Amino acid sequence: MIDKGRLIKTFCELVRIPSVSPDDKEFIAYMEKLLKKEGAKSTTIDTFGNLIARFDAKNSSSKDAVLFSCHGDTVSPGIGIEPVVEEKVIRSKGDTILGGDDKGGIAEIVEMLRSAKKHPPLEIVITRCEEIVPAGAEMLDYSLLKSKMGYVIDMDAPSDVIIGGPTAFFVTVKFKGKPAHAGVYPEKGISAIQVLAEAISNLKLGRLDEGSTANVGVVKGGTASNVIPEDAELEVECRSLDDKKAREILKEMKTVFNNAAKKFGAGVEIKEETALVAYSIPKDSKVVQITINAMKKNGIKEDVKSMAGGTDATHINLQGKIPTVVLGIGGRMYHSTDEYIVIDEMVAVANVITTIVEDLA
Amino acid sequence: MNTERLINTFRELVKIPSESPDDKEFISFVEKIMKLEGAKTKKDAYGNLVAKFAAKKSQSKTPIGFCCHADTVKPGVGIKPIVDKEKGIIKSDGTTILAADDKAGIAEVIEMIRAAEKHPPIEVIITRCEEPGSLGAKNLDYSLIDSKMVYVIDEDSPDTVVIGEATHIHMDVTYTGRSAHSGCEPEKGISSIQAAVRAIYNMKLGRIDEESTTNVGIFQGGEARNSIPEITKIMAECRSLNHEKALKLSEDMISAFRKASDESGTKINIETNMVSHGYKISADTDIVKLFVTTLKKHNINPDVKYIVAGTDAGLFNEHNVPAVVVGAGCREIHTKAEYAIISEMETMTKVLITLVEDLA
Repeated sequence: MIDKGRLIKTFCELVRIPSVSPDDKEFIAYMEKLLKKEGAKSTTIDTFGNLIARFDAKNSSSKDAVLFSCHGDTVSPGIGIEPVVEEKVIRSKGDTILGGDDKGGIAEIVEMLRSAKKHPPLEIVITRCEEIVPAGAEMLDYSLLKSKMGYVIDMDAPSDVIIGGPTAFFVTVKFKGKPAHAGVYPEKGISAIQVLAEAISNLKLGRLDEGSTANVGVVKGGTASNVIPEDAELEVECRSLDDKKAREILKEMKTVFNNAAKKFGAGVEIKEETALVAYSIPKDSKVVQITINAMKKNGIKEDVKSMAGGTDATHINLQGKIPTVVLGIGGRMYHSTDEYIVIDEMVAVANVITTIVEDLA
Repeated sequence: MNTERLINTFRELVKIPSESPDDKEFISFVEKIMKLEGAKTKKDAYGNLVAKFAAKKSQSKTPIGFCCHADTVKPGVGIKPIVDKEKGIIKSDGTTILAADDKAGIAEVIEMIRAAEKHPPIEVIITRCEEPGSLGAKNLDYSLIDSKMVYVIDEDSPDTVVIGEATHIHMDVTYTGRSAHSGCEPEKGISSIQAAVRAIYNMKLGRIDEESTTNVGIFQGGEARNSIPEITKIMAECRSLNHEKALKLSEDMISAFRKASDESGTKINIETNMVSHGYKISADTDIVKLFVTTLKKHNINPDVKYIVAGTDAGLFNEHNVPAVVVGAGCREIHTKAEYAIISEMETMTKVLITLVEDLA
């Protein structure tokens, strides 16, 4: 049985330990001690500093390990967090985040370990630096893991079941024009701002289809109002749940940038980075079905969907070995000082994952 | 004239810092010198100095004006002028500007007063804050000015006679859209970058005609790659030697900016500033002919021209006081490499002396 008071106490303890990325190693060390105390058979800190804790099966002959993963770091302001437990929610005092993202998930996993009557072998992974680049999950030593399926707890509502994420490309474009005094001899210049205007006018931006988006997020061009701008830089991205589609959009964008530069005789430098790689877990796969079933048992109607962003599950699924879905924490307004945890939802998540491991035992 | 005295005056002047807008102490210093030289002085409400000298050995009742600005650009504190006799120049020690812009002109005017054997009534006008956009000249109390012509000494080379400047209008434009996560819910956002691009895309930029130009010099928008950009700021300008044309160009640009805002559903804020008010003076007018003749007497071939930059001359002309701009003998202004050419400062002083003696 889930012990609500114990869950809240664990949560409050965890959020009081600061772990603003990348300074999350002390917290990871704390977690290693805690999980050992809860009976971990062995723990490993990989070269990046991610924690892997292994638990033997309990009252079960199952050999198939299950992965539960949360990240140990938080965004700022995350130092000196003082959780305020109200009747229904837990908040910060207002001058920091709460740190429920992702310590709510960690507290739920700890509560699951304490209350599950039986479970298969478990691998608990606490990653570093999910909020920054490179993410701990990107640097994780996957040879240390044996799980056959996995759960990342890092979304909002207890009904969330994330089974897909997008491919995302980050594109940085630099146009090089030619400077000249704008009032004296503008004909000697090439305006990099005109080139960027030409390019952006020809880009398809916003929602492109149900699973695809594109954005020009940041533009910086020019140095002074009386100089024909020599340089302009654009930070662009495109995403699609369909990897092939994302590549097509990227290719189109690059053509637009090159054509715009050509039209004005400007130089162009395009740098692309694969930020996320798409994954898609079939709805009828075991990891999804077990989850839906466990939610039903706890009176929760599942909300199975894909998301536009990345989580640690993106990196885990990229390895192609451990099909991993993302579940909710039971919190809202992450990354803000208004962040809060809904106590009943945190209890619900702990119940769902306890049911999952008991069903898999 | 006395070159040694001219250089000493100049060195004294540049040692007193007067970075705009902190030029009041310097103005008081110049006021003292003017009084010592026999002027009646007055500061207007803004702090501009007007020093009036009575005619000397002359029956002339028509005053002639000379204008220089008191302020300098940065870095202008702790200037140590170095006289390089070999090269015939005065420079800074490399850590500051020299401030020959415009204190070479002031030194020359002072030397002219001291050395001229005769002259008509003279008005010396020392303006504040020219560098940020002729704020002193904009706020000058023109009722204090009796001159019918004013020579603004604020160009580089002594052969220069500027008879026209462009009207220059600066525009600060801010588009405010609505931010949203660009991957999750782009439909909830409105991109301020796209709004601004919409305006610029159809804008005629660069050389508009032989006397007019436009430019979008700065474009900065957005907060993060994965966020629909909420704020975009643009700095644009237009210039024309024809004042009406410049006004029309800025109106066209502003309406294009507004149209893009309407069409995109973004909010827009536009601030315009007339940096300089253009003017054109005919080469046949007395003020030009007189100076050209004087230059020729000193074997200088006059370079009579229009420029696109703004000086205080535009404001005098706007107030119906004909003004042209002439050179002080300096180069590389607004940089730490700025220097004054001693021979050119001498020449300019001699030209000024001839000018006032001829008018006596």
